[in-house]
This record gives sequence, structure tokens and C-alpha cells, in this order.
Amino acid sequence: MTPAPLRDPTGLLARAPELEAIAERDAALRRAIEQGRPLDAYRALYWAHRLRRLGDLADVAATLLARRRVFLKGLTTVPRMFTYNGIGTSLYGRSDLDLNDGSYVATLYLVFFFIPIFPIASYLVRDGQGSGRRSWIIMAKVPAGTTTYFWQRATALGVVGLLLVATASAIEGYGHATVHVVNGLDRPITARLSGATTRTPVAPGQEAAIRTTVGQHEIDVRDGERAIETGSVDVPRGHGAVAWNVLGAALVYLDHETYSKEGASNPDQGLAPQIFCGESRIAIGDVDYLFAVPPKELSLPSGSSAVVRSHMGVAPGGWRSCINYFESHGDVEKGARLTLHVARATLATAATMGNEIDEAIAQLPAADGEAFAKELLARDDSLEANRIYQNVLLESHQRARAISEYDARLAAKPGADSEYLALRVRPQQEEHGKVDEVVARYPRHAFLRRAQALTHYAELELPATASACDALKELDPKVWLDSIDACVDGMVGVGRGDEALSALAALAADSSATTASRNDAEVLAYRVAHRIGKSAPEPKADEDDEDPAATPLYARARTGLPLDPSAIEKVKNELVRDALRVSLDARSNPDAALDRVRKGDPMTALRLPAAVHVLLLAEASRRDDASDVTARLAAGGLGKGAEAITSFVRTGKVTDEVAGLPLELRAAMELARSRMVGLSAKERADLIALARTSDVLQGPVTVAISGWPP
Amino acid sequence: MVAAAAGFWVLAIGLTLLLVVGGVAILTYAPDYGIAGFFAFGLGGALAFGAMPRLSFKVEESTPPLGDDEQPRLRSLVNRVAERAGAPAPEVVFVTHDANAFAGGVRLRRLSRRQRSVGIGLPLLAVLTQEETSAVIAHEMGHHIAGDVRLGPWVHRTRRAIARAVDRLEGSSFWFHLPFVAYADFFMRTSVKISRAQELQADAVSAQVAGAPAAASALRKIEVLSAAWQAYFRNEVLPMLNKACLPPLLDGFDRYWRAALTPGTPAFEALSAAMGANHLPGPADTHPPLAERIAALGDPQTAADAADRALDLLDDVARVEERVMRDLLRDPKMALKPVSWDQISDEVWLPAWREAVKGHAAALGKLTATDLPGALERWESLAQATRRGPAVLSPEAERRELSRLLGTWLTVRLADRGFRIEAQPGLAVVALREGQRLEPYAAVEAMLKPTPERNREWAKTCTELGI
Repeated sequence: MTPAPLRDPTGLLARAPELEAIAERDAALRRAIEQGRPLDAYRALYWAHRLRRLGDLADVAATLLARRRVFLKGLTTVPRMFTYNGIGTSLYGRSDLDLNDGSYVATLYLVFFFIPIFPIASYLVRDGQGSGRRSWIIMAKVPAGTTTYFWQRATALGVVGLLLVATASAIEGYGHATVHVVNGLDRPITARLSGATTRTPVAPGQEAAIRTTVGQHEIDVRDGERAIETGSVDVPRGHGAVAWNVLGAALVYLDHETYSKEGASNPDQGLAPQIFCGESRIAIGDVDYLFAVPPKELSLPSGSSAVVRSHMGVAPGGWRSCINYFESHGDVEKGARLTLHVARATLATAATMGNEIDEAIAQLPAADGEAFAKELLARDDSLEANRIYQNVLLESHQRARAISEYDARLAAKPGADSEYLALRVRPQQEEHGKVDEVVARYPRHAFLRRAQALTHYAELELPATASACDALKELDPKVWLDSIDACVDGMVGVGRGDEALSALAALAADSSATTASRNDAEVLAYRVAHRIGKSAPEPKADEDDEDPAATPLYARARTGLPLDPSAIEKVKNELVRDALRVSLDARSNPDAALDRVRKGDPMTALRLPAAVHVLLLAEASRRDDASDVTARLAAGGLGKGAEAITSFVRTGKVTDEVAGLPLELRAAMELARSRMVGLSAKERADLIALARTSDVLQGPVTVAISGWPP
Repeated sequence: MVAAAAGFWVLAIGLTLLLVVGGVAILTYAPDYGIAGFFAFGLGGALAFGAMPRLSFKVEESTPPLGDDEQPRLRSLVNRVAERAGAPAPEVVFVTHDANAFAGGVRLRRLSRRQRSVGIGLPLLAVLTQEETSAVIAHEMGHHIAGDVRLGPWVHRTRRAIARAVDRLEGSSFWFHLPFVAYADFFMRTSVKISRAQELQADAVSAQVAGAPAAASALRKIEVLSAAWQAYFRNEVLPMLNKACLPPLLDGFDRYWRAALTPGTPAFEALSAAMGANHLPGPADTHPPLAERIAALGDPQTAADAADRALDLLDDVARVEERVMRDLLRDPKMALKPVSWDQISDEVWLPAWREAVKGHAAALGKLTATDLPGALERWESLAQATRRGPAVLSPEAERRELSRLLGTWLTVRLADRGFRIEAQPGLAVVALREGQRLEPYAAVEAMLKPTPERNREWAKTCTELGI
């Protein structure tokens, strides 16, 4: 069958009659010619030649392929050329040059900083006549050369591939979203959202992402096989962060980083970080860096001098960070409740969370504390658990009940533990009278030894304290460590400062001890060294401490050493800086110190060294015109002890709370009491002498004794 | 048809929206691939730029229709035929230069109502009888009756929009043109099928009004006439108009037609090629092949040519000729020089050829007639030297172009040597002198396939002719 004659709407055959014969062998070429698509005709010819479909016409095809301009296509619009700061479109290249008329083929590229990124199209051009900027006369569009063509197609394929992947991801993203489960507990947990077949493990202090369908879901969090939390979470479509903070325990925060032209990122000064402590369900709008580390630098959009990016993350330290956060923001009850929530959910025992539970209970109403202490006792009849329960009873003025219950226990279960618990709930004086006798019967019981040391310490019997501490250290170094302040006072008080110093030095160097223990030992050693006239290295900040100037100053403030005001001003943390200023004033000018407390941030009291804090509280209690300062200082983390301190200063009554305080704090109270109006000179002198004795390490109280005006 | 035409807009708008909505979806639901979202917007913009039609406020240009008092006999025939066909009389009648007839709706003023119109080509009136002309007009009225005319402009605009989209997106890096090329194929197949059915239906109206023999006869004549007229008009008339000359249109076609019936003439070759092309239906042909149309009419015998020529319906044919030619000009009122076909060579062609040769004096100045075979063998350098504008021809096209130039050069050379040059419509250019005869263009074209024998013969011819 003879093929129909070719139609040639664009005159291509008139420019290249050779194509007529080739088109008989290649349908794609024929179609392109007949449909008036010369650029496609070139490409069809290219592939026919490349795939060797043209037989004896291959040479003719090669000749035609070498003359791209033959396949020209008239311009319907002039291509747009523009660059703004090197970004835009521009013509490059000079191929197929015709010396006769100076025409050549150039390619229009998408350029980025004048670097060709993507070839848009090739044109038959001639240099323009204009002066100054380069100009072209664009005559027609021509097919792209082989390299350009493959460059174009490879880029296009890449973009199309990216679009397909992005579209698939968008389709998936339309029906799915991510729930981030944050575990602030000390143990691993698993979480499962309704509809999921597997559980997602989340390590302590870590976050795990769970991809799920949008809509309402039930979440089930387990510790092993035991459910510790369930709830519902609404997973929204599209943007927005959804996190499940297990038990609300982790300190999840949302802050903002400002990226400026200087390059460094800074926490944005304008937007305060948002903290999500105690909240399990966290739903928020767009977050730029969700549980991902924000970059150190960011390229700014043109015209912007700075951009702000949001970042949600988890603070290190697990649930304890939340407790610290609550305490530092004066919301101790919330922190206490969170502690007990964590303890209850994780079935904590006194051995694992004893101190935290004890401190938390102290911040709660008596009924709540007692309920929790009983709950704890039900699963843990350890000495520590009993001590917590006893503390609840004693704090709530139920000493008689405590004595009765523990006497009954002693009768029912005689032995060293029961003896210790029964002794412990007795009033200080009564305990002091019996403790040596009980210890004589159970000399190897560490807690009885500790009770012996602390009871003598409360009576300012430092040799007996030191002796009991020696026995305790031998029996159980850990329990000794719990009583280290009293034991060090005892040792220094009997002239064994060197011995105390070496024990503290050993403790500070003990890599098995916690960082907090080591730091405490370091500061205590510093104080002891100065007390006995030895040199000791100044405590230094940890490597990752953001405010390194504060640590040595704080140690000096606790030790009673001179403070350099200019060094204080270099401290970054405003609260710490203010606390140090108060400490400095408190050495010689109680009026100024109290005034600074009055005018400063209410949270400053929390950062004061304990001796300075009690000293100022006691001094404020004494004054008629400082009730506001008294209230501020009393609310600053002293708990129910503040009431006992105030009472002692005003009446001289030594309650068990007062007797149980460290001697340094008692010295502060005694100094303030000595300044009460109405006391005789002898009473004042006795109190000051007592204060001098009580302040074994001769810290800020001793400085105040000599520095304060009468 | 409406659905198929609307499909193009659905495709263009749909693809654009798909990319834009896809971009939004990617930015919203897959922000990690945000860059892909911006790519999608960019591609959507590029597609919209390429595929969407441009608003045009140009007034439709059309041949002016006959005035109300012009050509009353032709108008009367049209009205009679309309009445017999059962259609209202057309409000507007055109006479055009084309060998075709048409029905349509024309808007003579912006925002005015479209008026029913019929157009008939002057060449048809020159060739057909009045009965056959009635058949042709009845066919066009058939389109009016069937309502094809209402749809026509819409389909035409859609075709134009598709063609423009394919044209603008051709060679797109992102294969944007492929859906439009595929849709163009689909639309063409659909619309062609419907158009062909409409043509057969209009043929039936034509047979009903004028009788099947007259309808079949008109179709047969138009088939041949159309091919010959196109070649005549393109090759003989348009060059004259380009040179501001006004030739006698129908006289020229009469001469061309006679040449086309004579084997070996360029007109004969052109007509044979055109008829061959028309014999095989192309995929884009809106009309069925002649054989199918004749068969649909019952294959009637051709009616004997009656004496009543359709041309007799026209008053002042020469004026109508001038009018249809002037309609093609950008400035229809421009001055045109009347030229007879006998004077055409001396008055038009030779001056033009001399001008062309003079323009290449540097390259052709030292050329002699005997050099021609050698010059064509070393065609590249001569082609480069004589090229005007950018080199956009293939080697073969350049050779042919050069051959034509050398043919012109030889014609001028022969004229300078006392030869009389004849260039009649449809015939080869001939140089004559005292019994000597040479077709210069044919002679040079023959040199494109040189043989030693041909070269020797040419050298001998040159000697004999003294060139």
C-alpha cells in the first residue's frame, strides 16, 4: 500500500526534502511532520537514527541532525530573559555558528547565581546591535542539542520523580499524622495507638514517633505488661504537632530561635518558652523543628534581617526536670503531685524514690500525704517507707498516734528496726535520753547509729556526734553519706578537720557517686578547708554549665568568703545574680539585703544559700515592718520549717523542727533571736555565743555576727 | 462533539488545577517535600501559560459580503435554492477567490448577531453549471438546516486552541504536550467522523434539491478543480499580487487548466500529485472521499453539461475577479497594475529575475553557462555565497534552491542573448530564439543528477545556443 503523501503545514519538507523518504520508514517522524511539530520531528529523527532504524538513510539523517536550525519553529512569543541578583533566565552557548550571517544556536537556561541549572529551550539567534548590555535577535526556536536534551530530560525526570514521591507522601500525609510519645520516666515504656498492631518502645528520657491515621485514637502506655496510662488523643490532619507526654512527666518545651544575619541562632527574646509539664496531651500548631535539633545557621530569605523558628524538644533529666521547673516557679505542690503520680504509676519504692517521695509529701496537705504514705507502705514495709509515713504523721502533729502505732509494732515485731522506728517518732529530748541505750543493744544497726549521731548533733554534742558518725561510716557508708553535713560538723567541731577534708576529697573524686553528691562534697570540702586554714581548689562549673561564673561565687557565698561585686555582675542568670547580691548585702547590711529581697523577683529566695536564706527570714521575722519580706522568704522552699523558724525567733521556743535543722541554720536563727527587742544583754550574749558555736564551719552567719550593726 | 470540545478545556484546566492543588497538598501534607510543592506551582504556571487561550480583542477579518443590490441573479438563485431546501434565505452572501463553498454565521459588526451566510468561490461559478451551482448551494443550506453552522465556530475555536496548545508546548521538557497531542488525535478523530457524517447529510439535501446527477457532477468537478485551482492560485496568482500586478484571474486559470491536461507540463505534474493526495483520505479530512460521497448519492450518471453556465449569473465578471483578489490584500485599495498573461514574462518575471540575479552579482558574476554543472557539483560554496538570511535549509533543499537561482540566472542570460522568454500559467519557462528552444529551469534541474554524458550534451547545447 502506498502511503498517503505527507502534509507539511510548517514547511519543514521544503527546508529538508530528505525527510520525505525517512518519514516513510518512521511513523513518529511522519506524525510530527504532518502535525506541524518540527521540534518533535527532530527528536523522532534522533531516536530513529540512534536506534538504527533508518538503514541506508542513516547518513542522511546524521547530516540533518547536525543542522538543528533546519527544524526551526517560528516564535509565538519572545522568550523572557531576566535575572535578579543572578537568579532568573539567561542565554548561554554558541553552537552551529553560521559565519555567513553570524547566526548561531544558544540555549535559554534557568540560572542560579548565573550558573545554568536547567535548559529551557534552544534558539537560533544573532548578536544584537545594541551597545552596553548584551543583546540578541532571537529568530526561531530550534531543537536542543544532545547534551542539553539529556540534561533537560534528566532534570525533568528528577523533578517528576520528586513530584511523584511528594504526591505519594502528601496522599499518605492527608490520612496520617505523627504522634510523638515522650517518656520522662526512669524506665522504658511501650505505647500503642488504637488501630496499631505493634507497640512502640520508648527509652527513658527519649521520644518516639508513631505514624497513625488521623482522627480520634486511644493511647495505651505500658511499663512491661502493666498499663500505666491510657487516654484519648485527637490526631489532626495536616500541620500541627501532637505529642503524648507520658504521665505529663517530661519537661517538653516549645521555644523560638531567632536566626539573624550574624549567623548565630539565639533563643528569641520576644517569645517566652512554653513549658508542658504535667500535661500528657500536647497539641499545638505548626512547629518548625519537632523533637529535632534546630540548625545552627539558616539562610535568610532575601529582604529579611532575621527569622524566627519554633522548636519543640524534651529537656534532659526526665521527670525531675519538671519537678525542678515547678519548684523554681513556686508551684511546689504541682511538683509534689507529679512526683507522687510518677511514683504511683511506676510502683516506686522508698529505696528507689524515697527522698523524692518524702519531699513531695511534705509539700502536700496532710491527708494526701498520709494516703500516699500508706499506699507506699502497703507494698513496701522498708525502713525508708516507714520513715516517710512517720514524717507525714509528725508533720501533721500526730506524734502521739505515731508513738502509739510504732510502739504497737515494736511489741508485735521486736527487733532493731522496730526499736529504731519506735525511737524515731519520740520527741527530741526523749529520743536523746534513750538512743544510747538502744544503740548499746543493737550496735550494728546503721539507722540507729545515724539516729544517735543526729540526736547528739541536735544537742550540739559534737564529740558524741563524731563518734557515732565514725561507727556509722564503718557500718554503712551510704547512710553516713546521707548524714554528711552533721558528721562533718561533728568532726570539725572536735578538731578533726583534716580527716573530714580528706574524706570529702575522696568523695568528690569518687566516680561512682552522683554528680550532685560530688559537687556537694566539693563545696563542703572548700568550706572545711577555709575553716581549718587549709587551701582548697575553688569549685568550678561543669563543662556544659551555661553560667560558669556563678559556681565559684556561689561557693564563696556559702563559705562566707569575700565576694567581688563586679564578678557578681558577670553572672548571666538574673535570679542567681540577685541572690548573690543579697548574700553580699547580708554580710554587713541586713536592711539593704531585706530591701533587695522586697524589691527583687519573688523567686530570688529560692537561689539564696540556705544559711543566708534562714538568716534573712529570721531577721525579717523579728522586725515589725518586714512582714512582706517574711512572707516572701517563708514561701521560698522552706516548707513548714519556716513557721518553726519564725516562732523560734519571736518566742525562743525550740520545737523538734528547729532541733532537727542543721546547726548552721540554727546559728542563723540564734543570731536573729539575739537581736529581738526585750532581751537582756546576757541573753543576747548567750545567744550570740551559741550561734558562734553552732556555726561550726563559720560561714555567712559568723560573718554576719561581726558584720551586722547592733 | 460538544463534549469532545469541552474535554479540551477540562484537560487543560484540570491538569493545571491538578498541579496547583497538588502543590498545595504537598506543602500542607508533605512539608518535608516542600520544594516539590513549589515545582508543582511552577509547572502549573508553565502549563497554564502554554495551554490557556489568549484573550483577543481583534475584530474577525472576513471577506466583505455582497451588497444588497449586488449580483441580483446570483442572490435570486441562492434564495430559490434555500426555499427549495426548506431553509430561510441566507442573510449574507459571499463570493470568494477559493475553489470552495461554505455556510456559516457571520458577525458583521462587533457584538452584533451572527447572520446566516453562504459563500461560493468564483472558480466554482466559472466551472459549474447553474444546476450544479444550485447543488452546491443546497449542500451549504443543508448545513444550515442541520444546525452544523451553529456548532462550527465553537469547534473551530477549540481546534485552534488545541493546535495552539500543542504548538506552544511542543518539545516541553516535562512532556506537557503529550496529553494535548493525544487529545488532539482523539478530538480530530471524533470531530472528523462527525464532520464527514454532516457532509453526507448535506449531500443528501443537495441531491434532494438539485437532483443526484447534478450533485454528483458538482462534486466530481470540484474535486479536480479544487486541486488545480490551489496550485494555480498559489504558483501563478499570488506572485503577481505580491508584485502589485492584477492578472485576469479566470483567463489565467483557463490557460492553467489546459496546461494541466497536457502531460509533461508543471501543471499536469502538480495536478497529478494533488489528485493522488486527495485520493487517499487523510486523518484530518473533514470531508469523506469523493468515491464515498458519490456512492452515497447512488452513483448517478454525470449530467450532460447544460449551456447555462453559472458564471452567467454574475454581472461584470472582471470586477468580481478584481474584488476577490483585492480581498486578499492587506490594503484592498492599493494600486494594482493590470497585466495580461501574454505580457507577464516581460512585464513581471524578467525584471524580477534580473533583480534577483543582480543581487547575487558577486557570486554569479564570473559564471558562464558551461560552468553550471560544475557549479552545482560544488554547490556548498556557491550556496553559501548566495544565501540570504540564516542557513535553515538541508543540503538537498540548498541544492534545489541553488538550482532555482541558477535557472533564473540562465533565463536572464538567455534573455540577454536575444531569447524571448515565455512563462505561461501551468507551463514551464521557455526561452525561444529563431527555432531554438530551451527550458532553462528544467535544464538546470537536470544537472542535479549529473552524468558525463549529460554534461557533454550541455556543453554542446551551450555552444549551439551561443551562451
